[in-house]
Amino acid sequence: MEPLIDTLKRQIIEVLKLSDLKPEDIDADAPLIGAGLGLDSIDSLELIVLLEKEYGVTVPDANTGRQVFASVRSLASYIEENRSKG
Amino acid sequence: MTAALRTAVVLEDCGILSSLGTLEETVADLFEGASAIVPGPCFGVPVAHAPFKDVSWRSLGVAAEALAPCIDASDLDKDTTAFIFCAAKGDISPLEAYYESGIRPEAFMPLLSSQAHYAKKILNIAAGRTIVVSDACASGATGVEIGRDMLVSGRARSVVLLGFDGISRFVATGFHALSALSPAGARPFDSSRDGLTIGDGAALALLTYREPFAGDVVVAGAGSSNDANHRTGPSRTGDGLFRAAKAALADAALPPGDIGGVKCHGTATKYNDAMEAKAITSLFGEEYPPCFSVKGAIGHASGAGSLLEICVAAECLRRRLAPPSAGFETLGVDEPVPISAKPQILRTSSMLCLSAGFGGINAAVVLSEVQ
Amino acid sequence: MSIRVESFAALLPQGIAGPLGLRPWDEGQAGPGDVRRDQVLDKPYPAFGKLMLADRLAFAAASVALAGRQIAHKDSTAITLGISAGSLSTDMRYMESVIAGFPSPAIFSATLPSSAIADIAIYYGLKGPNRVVAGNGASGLTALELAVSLLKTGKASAVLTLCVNAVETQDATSPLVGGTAAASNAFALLLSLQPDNSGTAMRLSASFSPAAKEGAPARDELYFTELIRLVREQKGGSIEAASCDVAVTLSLAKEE
Repeated sequence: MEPLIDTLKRQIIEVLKLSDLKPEDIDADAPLIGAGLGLDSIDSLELIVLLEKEYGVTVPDANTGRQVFASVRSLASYIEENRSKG
Repeated sequence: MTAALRTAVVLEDCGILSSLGTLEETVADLFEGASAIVPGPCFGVPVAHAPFKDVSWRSLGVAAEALAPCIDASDLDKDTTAFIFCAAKGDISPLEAYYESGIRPEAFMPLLSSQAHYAKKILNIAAGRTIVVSDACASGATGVEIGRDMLVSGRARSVVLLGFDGISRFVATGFHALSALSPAGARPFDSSRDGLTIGDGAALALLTYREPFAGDVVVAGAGSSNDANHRTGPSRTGDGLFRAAKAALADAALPPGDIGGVKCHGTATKYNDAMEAKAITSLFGEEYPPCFSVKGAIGHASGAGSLLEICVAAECLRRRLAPPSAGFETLGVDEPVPISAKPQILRTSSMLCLSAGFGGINAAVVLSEVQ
Repeated sequence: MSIRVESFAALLPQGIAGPLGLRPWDEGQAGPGDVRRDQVLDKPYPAFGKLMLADRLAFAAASVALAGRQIAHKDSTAITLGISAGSLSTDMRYMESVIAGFPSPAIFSATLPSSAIADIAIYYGLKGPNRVVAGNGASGLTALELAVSLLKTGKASAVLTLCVNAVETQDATSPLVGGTAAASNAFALLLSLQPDNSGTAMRLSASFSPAAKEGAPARDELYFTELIRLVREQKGGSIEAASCDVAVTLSLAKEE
């Protein structure tokens, strides 16, 4: 899972254009949306697009979204779970 | 009101094109409680939408041609007339055609300025100034405010406003990506509301500055503000819209008690309607006038929609009635705002029109019928 | 009534001009389009990198003009923006995401000419009226006209006026741009009717009328460059501008 977490950190920075951040600045266990990285609701929608585009994984509703975006680690495990299903 | 002998910004003529048809058809159907919202898909997106009654109007040139007879532009003087084009995206078809099939723009470019000059030519308006206002979904209301300020300050003697925003793949996919669209249709202020419905819309209006006669509808005041809160979402407090409304009332020199009804922005997103109810409550306290939204009937036509809805509001003002708010059944906001489920008598001859848009932009216009 | 120029900024081909002087672009920076957050803001601002070109230029110019300033009445501080090409490049990026099958919500949210004021309003808490005009060559001058009108009608106590020209380099030759493309630049003026006596300042008077000849091709960035030069050099002077359909006389005088 750690390689996926590192990849995700790089992709999040790239997709959300977080030019002031480096991958190591992102804590894998800290909340993604809100205070920590300063991400907002539009960013979370953009991350949903990233999941579909890069991993073929969909986020069916807002409730799932909240759990998925709890941290980079939860995002990684959601991808691993749903990829293996397919 | 006592303005009969004072110079005022008079709404001389106006016309609209909506999913319910012309201004006359739209207002008649609104009072019947009709809705033109149809189920999806819309440009491949599984959402309800409100297409023009005549879909050929979705072309800017056809719409301008259809609207041209709605105003008498024959006496306009080039040196003292301003043409104000109000749109969020306008007719974005040249952009789509280029990306979808490599077709190069012919009649006009996707740029709003190019659209404005193209439409102005078709309308055959003699106007020395062309101003393109793009304040998101408040464009039409901001256009009216700019027009009013130009007339009052003497920078123009006549102002022609054109609003146009069509449903497109661009707009449908975008609002869908933002999860803002209702699957089944907009239900403004209703407890089951689940998003907005995009609609086509166009409107044309002529404003002049003169002594009004009894029966004239005047733009008595206008005001605007920014929430400074979020790029796309409304503020949670309604403070920004409240300040815009307060500024419009101050501009009109009217206290809230003199407002007979409110044409709400009423998009039917969870947060817009909740915010708007707070703003309306801050303004009126418990003394609410009748409030309504037309977006459950004709959808949300972005920047043009706010001008279109001002034209509809003027027509309702002449009838001294607030129309029913199609899609509304059970109040779903925290404050007891009297959203009209059936026609309600306006308590005075003035109406407050509220608009809001992306970027935290709020705009309010006060219309009064001269007694 | 004269209007006080409280502050200014310009993102020009040669560098960033502001009240603190002119800072040339670093090596490797081609011009305004490459502006970095640390050149205009001393604090990190994660959203800066997300801003599309037009929004980034507007935000950068606003930040240089507003740096270190206390704005007294934020509720009545307006923003007027003239943005010649509107959000055209952003629209093109969004349409590319649609064609690729993954419409981008973040890019869509910026596909409005008014998008360029959103972050400025939020970051600096400016809650007054907004006027966004996207009328090609005369946009900036019209934004200036609307700023003057907002001050004179008392609808605003101060106005941040922006003139932004932004078309991404990759779009310059697109048939959608149709020859409207130019080098990217951005200008900001903070105008007010309330002198704060903090030092010398320039006063601006402006009159607007329809241009004698419609469709003159002049771009208003030339006039803004000249206007900002007069302000920077603290010189009086007047500019006769005729851009598209508006004729403008701008006069600057040094405050006594």
